Amino acid sequence: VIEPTNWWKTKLVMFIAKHTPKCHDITRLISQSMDGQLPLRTRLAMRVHYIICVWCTRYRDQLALTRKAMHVCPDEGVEKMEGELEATAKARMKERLKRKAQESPEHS
Amino acid sequence: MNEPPAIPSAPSPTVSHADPERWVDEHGDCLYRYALTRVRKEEIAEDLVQETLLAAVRQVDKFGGRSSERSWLCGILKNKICDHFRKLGREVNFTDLEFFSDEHSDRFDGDDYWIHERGPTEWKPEGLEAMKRSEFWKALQAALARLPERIAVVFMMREMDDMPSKEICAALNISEANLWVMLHRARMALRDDLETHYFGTKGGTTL
Repeated sequence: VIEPTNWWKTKLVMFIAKHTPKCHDITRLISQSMDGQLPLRTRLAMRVHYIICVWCTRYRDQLALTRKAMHVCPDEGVEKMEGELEATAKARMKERLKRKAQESPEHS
Repeated sequence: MNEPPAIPSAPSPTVSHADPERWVDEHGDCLYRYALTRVRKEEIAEDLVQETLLAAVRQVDKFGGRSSERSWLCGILKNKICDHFRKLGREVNFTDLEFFSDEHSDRFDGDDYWIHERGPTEWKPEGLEAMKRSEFWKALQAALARLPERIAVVFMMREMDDMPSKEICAALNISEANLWVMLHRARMALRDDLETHYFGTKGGTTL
């Protein structure tokens, strides 16, 4: 049973839910908005949807965070990741670099 | 290599003012790790790092020290990786619509709204705090490794190289509509993976 004070609030939430895209569609639109600009109408509808939907809001923020992490990954992230070149591989690389430097010092 | 540093007014054409062998020690592991995340095969990753360093020797005069040595080398590596996939894209079809085709329909109710208990949870620690922790990066590395190969290639081109959709479509020979589907599913799966393995119930909070 809905409390009388919440009656209007609930009605409003239901109204917004009915007139904005469904959550499943919103997730698709969020992804699309990361690859290009969506029509103003769609962007507005999404804004309004966020007001009533904490899950889609989280989804949007978490995708934005993931994007940020992916973006700084080569500079900051790899430092903290796992995987190392074997010593033999490093030696091999140095050897080739040394040979390269010797064979074509004038080459640019 | 053992010569004194070149006089600035008369820069030597050789590598005397760079030290490629030091690059191997200082940046080798990070470059390799990055390459391995992208291409997944150790031999190919190693080759790409080697090619990067050889190219860096040739271009060292162009490196003005505007960025750090690491990001300069990483930039060259990124180009090498792109070339690698471009070459592959001519032979392999990168479209993958099989992966994750239900798009979590079990998390949504019959009307396509989130089922409340199965919707995205609040992430702790929050964004920037999480990115300071090495556990987060290991989780991201593992999550990326769990994506199907073709999806991962496309997704990382978009998010790590910041390559526009149209260019990815041209390079890998996929349609724009399919690219959107693949990116959407990659993002959804990666978010889900991080939530399960890092944030969510245990991961982040116990640290």
